Amino acid sequence: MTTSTEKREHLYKILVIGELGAGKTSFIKRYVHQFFSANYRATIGVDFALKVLHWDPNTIVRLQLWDIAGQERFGNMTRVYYKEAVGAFIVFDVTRSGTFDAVSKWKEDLDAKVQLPGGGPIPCILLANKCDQEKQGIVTNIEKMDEYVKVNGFSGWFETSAKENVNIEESARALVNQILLNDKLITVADIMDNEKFALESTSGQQITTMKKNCSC
Amino acid sequence: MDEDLPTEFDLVVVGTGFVESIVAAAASRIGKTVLHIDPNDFYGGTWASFNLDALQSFISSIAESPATDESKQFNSIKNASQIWHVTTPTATPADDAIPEGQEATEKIWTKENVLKEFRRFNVDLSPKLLFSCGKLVKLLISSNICRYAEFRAVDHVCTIINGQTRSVPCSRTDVFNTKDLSIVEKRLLMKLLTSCMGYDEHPEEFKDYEDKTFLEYLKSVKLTDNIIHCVLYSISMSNEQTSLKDGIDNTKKFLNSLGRYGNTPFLFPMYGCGEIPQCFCRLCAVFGGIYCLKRSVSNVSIADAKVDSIKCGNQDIKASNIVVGHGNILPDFSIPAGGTGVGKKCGGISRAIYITSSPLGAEELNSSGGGVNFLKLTDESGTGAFVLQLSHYSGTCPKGLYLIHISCSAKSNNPEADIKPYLDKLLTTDHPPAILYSIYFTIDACLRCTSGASITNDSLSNVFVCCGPSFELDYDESIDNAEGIFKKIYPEDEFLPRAPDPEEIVIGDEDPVSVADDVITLDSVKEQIMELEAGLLHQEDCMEENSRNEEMAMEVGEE
Ligand SMILES: Cc1cc2nc3c(=O)[nH]c(=O)nc-3n(C[C@H](O)[C@H](O)[C@H](O)COP(=O)(O)OP(=O)(O)OC[C@H]3O[C@@H](n4cnc5c(N)ncnc54)[C@H](O)[C@@H]3O)c2cc1C
Ligand SMILES: Nc1nc2c(ncn2[C@@H]2O[C@H](COP(=O)(O)OP(=O)(O)OP(=O)(O)O)[C@@H](O)[C@H]2O)c(=O)[nH]1
Ligand SMILES: [Mg+2]
Repeated sequence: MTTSTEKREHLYKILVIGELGAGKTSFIKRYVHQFFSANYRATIGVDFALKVLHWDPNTIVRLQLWDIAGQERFGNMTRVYYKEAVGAFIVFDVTRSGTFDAVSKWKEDLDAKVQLPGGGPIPCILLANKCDQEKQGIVTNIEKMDEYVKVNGFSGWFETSAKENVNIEESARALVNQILLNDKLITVADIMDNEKFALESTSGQQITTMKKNCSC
Repeated sequence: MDEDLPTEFDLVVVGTGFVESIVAAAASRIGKTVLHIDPNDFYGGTWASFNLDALQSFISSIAESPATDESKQFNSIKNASQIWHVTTPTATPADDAIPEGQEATEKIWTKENVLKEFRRFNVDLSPKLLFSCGKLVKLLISSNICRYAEFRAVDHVCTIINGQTRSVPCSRTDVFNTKDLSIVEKRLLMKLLTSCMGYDEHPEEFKDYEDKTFLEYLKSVKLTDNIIHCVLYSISMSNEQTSLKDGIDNTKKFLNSLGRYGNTPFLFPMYGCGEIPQCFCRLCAVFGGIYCLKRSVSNVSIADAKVDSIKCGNQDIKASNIVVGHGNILPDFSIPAGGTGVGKKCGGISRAIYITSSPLGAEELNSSGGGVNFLKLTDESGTGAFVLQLSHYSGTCPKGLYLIHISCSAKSNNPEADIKPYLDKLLTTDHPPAILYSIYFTIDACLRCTSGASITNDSLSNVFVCCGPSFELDYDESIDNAEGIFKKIYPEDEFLPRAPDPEEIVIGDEDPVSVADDVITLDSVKEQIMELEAGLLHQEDCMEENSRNEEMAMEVGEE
């Protein structure tokens, strides 16, 4: 990551997962492109959408929001998808309780496949999407939801509507907060981690050697 | 996660190995609907990488199922065995093949210790290296799939001379700095490499050796044995029988890939070669391909010498074309014959994998824990063996341990016996590795390559069988195989045109900057690919100029 003394820039990869038609793509579109379309269309040809946040006067945050492209949805994500992710949204559809039942499966898969460098789970926020519509199941009971989120290791949950633009910014802000917090811890850990430093220095050296060779 | 699949596809691909995944990605990229399934619960088939836990169960499952078991899903790997050479939590290695008194390792590795770190392993069934300017690197860049992968430049190309493991000087700097060569030898080597690069422009230099072997030519230009050894076995990866033309072509291939990254012409994919097929799968998925692991084809219905539909789970799925990967077979299915290339067969590889607690070779080959080292071993008659040593910097094993992969052409059904002469060479060097655990297995040829021409008559015109890994260092033959299949199915279409960058849909007030990384991403190559064509010429000029300069420097030194 490019770090300069006065301005900090962060690039974060965030996964957006959940069942078919839960509203993953709509969430991303609303957040990144500020629009909503009622037509259901499979997501084609795009790995991620990029959102640039001027977090504070000294910090720029670039978020890569990785959609599961609807296709790996049968539960078999490639490692490419999970690689280097630092945060995740799991989305379910409040009008279909079946999409909620799959949430814990998604969470388990996520935790099994990607960890923070320290080994802990990456922060994950649960989105109860389509809250502009009539709710079904556990999501009608806020206390139960709070309990569920706590037990299952989520960083929090939000009722969202990609259609009505409810809680979209708020949930993203909450996740980025978590990520920045972790990042601080990691950076501190990094400094004490000789191994990582050695890796950077050897290959850094290699690159200079290579350049030297080229500019002969 | 359990919805039904759509019931009609342009292409159904069975198996997620390298070749299958490329075909799937290429079809999806041009807008075809693709269903990509794999009977296994992991990606990659014969090309997969496993953590240590998964590897052990995989090897046991193969070792335990009888070779004759037709129903076996995974039939491309056989003769598998594994053994721990350390068992008890004591320091003494149980195997007498391990010489004592190696450099003191701070940590005493017991079986339990090693197993505790199982998740840090990514052990490849089919490890490979990429030439920095080779076919796969070019394909990854031209298709823009490179953004999914990261690489480590190979640290040393090694050779064994008189029982010593040495680094082969690759770059001009290496040649200049090495203590293994005398100044006269250095000059001769530079001169030789320069004339190999100029083969096409000055064929007259080689006129007398056209029908001779590369070795005869090397001897004729009065090189010392040391240099002949390095050039013949390590740089051109040839043997005594290799023709002049092949020897020179191989040498040029090596030299052309130099100077792109690091000190050697090779790249190794971070976290193992098993990542590579998944990069193609991801592209396929991004363009609409549907993925399902743990699904196999239980039945096919045939009409007019074509497969009309397949049964997958409890669904009937119509497919215009079917691509079947190495190690997968369809029921009621006859295989069109013919292999990868003329006279070549895929598979037929004997494999060994060792987990070691010390690396091969002295400290200077493995500075700060070692990186990725490559060694080509020869034998008198055959094609020799590829040896790859990986440290934790490759993301394939924990710190303090090393993976040593050996691959050679299978001569028998006993991979251990096939590998033994090469292992012995490693174990009798001045710094042999201390082996904790070993695995042996054979990678079979695909059905197409084994079946011969006899059953072509019954072949189904819309079924295509992919080859497994070939005995080659890079992926050239496998890419040809994939492109060949793609062209047969879609003769009019472009093979993996560049996929757009996600950055092209940036919302925000600034252009995205690429993130500086200590690991090489092929993105950084993109700028360099421009220099690529120019680079060759440049390099020749440089080599000439530098050898002149270095000669001058040496002469100054001599005075
Ligand atoms: C297959 C694989 C790919 C990796 N890719 C990267 C990478 O691109 N960039 C990077 O900086 N670090 C990568 N890492 C390193 C990883 O992110 C951690 O830094 C490191 O593994 C820390 O170990 P741990 O004990 O937290 O988890 P481990 O015990 O090492 O990991 C447990 C399992 O989770 C999976 N896994 C863990 N991390 C990742 C990941 N980031 N991506 C995909 N799968 C993962 C693997 O299947 C692994 O077997 C990768 C690791 C693995 C095993
Ligand atoms: N009423 C309402 N409809 C929504 C909302 N979010 C998404 N939808 C609708 O739900 C349908 C599915 O939304 P997508 O965003 O495509 O869902 P997805 O999770 O990306 O689906 P896949 O990519 O197929 O897995 C579309 O018709 C959307 O218009 C919402 O907040 N409210
Ligand atoms: Mg979608």
